[in-house]
Amino acid sequence: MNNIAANQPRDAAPPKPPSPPGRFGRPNPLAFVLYVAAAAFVLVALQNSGLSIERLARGLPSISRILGQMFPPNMERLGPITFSLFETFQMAVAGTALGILFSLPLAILASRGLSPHPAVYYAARSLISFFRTVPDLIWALFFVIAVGLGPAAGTLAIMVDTIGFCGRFFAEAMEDTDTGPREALTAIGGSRTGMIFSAVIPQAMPSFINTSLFSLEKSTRSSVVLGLVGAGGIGIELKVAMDLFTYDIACTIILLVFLLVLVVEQASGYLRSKII
Amino acid sequence: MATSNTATVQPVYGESQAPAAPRPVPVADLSADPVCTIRNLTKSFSGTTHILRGIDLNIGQGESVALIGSNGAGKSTLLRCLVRLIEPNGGSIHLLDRPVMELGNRQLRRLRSQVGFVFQRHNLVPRLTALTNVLHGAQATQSGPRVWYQSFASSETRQHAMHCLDRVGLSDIALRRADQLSGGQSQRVAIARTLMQKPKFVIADEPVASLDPVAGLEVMDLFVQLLREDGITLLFTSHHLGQAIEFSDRVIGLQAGQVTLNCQSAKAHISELQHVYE
Repeated sequence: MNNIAANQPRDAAPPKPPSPPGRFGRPNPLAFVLYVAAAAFVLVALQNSGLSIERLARGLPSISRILGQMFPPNMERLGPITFSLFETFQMAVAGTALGILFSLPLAILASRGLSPHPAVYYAARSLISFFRTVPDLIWALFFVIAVGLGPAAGTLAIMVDTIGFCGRFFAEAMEDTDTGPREALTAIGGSRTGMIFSAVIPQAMPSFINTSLFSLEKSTRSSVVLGLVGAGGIGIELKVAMDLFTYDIACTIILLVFLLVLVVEQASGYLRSKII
Repeated sequence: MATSNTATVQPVYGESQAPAAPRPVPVADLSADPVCTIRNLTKSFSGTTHILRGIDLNIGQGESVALIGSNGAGKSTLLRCLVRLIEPNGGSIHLLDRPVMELGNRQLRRLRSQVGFVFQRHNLVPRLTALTNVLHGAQATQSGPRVWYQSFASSETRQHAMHCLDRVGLSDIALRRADQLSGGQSQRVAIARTLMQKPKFVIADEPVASLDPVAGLEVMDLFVQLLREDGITLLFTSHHLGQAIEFSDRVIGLQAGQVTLNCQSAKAHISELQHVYE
């Protein structure tokens, strides 16, 4: 170092450091075309939705009229509404529990590294994607036709929706676990089942609990809507109230639903912080 | 070109890496009755990265063998190839009288059940207790929920697991979660899990590399002592040349996937072993 310093003239300017690279990379032509196409599609979608300031302004008096009729809420039917709300929550709990139960084996089959065969892996992944992509309302319609009106159809719809939701996240949680304990049990000749239940699932358990609680929150919200198509619960009460223009009763239902969802979310958050 | 299966073991050096240092003194073959025989073992990744280039090795019953070499020399790959956690490309391995390369899945599991494996990172299940982690060692010979969690286990299995924990001095923290243990305690639990397995041959991949020097020495001392008490053969890797000499009967040096050193530990000097890292 001293030698280098000695070889340089005393008044020589220090070497200029290299300039930093550009802030943004130049997009390739294909990416640029795709960005422009995506932006154009968003604009066309907004245009075709028929939404406009003028239309919104015209609707404001109706909104204020409905809100005016909603308050004060009508408590006359508080008893039956509370019963329906409880039935709705029971649907959510039963459907979520069944969904979690069935999603675990499916998630194992859909988990890279745990699935016994690539064909099984892709089949399980496809099934989970199918369950997830079909909306719960469609499932409710399907089960109303299959098993008839009532909470059974709603419970089944929630179950299938939960399998789609939990199946995916359970599989990803298991894939993300540390492979070390798995390797340790494989190295000593442990069985695949033993390895899954004693090395993978315990590691993925916090994520399982988290996903299950989120799933319960989601099911509670969706169980309210399922009644609209006759799948049991408070949804049918809400539909009747709206159809009969008894907005004050509808307001009571909406407030109670809000309360239920709030309680479930708070309880779920508390459990998450305690268990995980 | 590497160690032959003759009565003596010669130190062998790769053609290009032959060091100028004095060669280790030839010793009598400790492997006259080998429990592990490796011949011309090769392993490459993607067909181009050659990790093992024709390994020949014998390991005798009850022997403790240290495997040394720089990072990337092929030590960990060799250990994993022994029980086919990594599939070798060629050559043959006879371990505990079984041709490892020819075994089907079921037979391979049976062989693995007799081979303990201790890892550098302990590989315990973090959310489970020390006792349950030790109990997992019984999965080598048993299956089902009774060896998944200590709560489900039979009294005899729980008793044996406690005995193994006691041997490593941790019976008082049996119900402490693995993620709450220190590095040294974790590795002791991993050793207890290996003892639970009742292995005939133990492979250890840098078992104390993640521990501080004092804890590492203590754990290594305990580990080797326990295996010697049970007459178990040990093959371990280490970057700590002092420990490699102290805790082994023989030191094997690997350079670029070839055995370039094979000498008796009692007559080895650290300065000689350092040539393996050149």
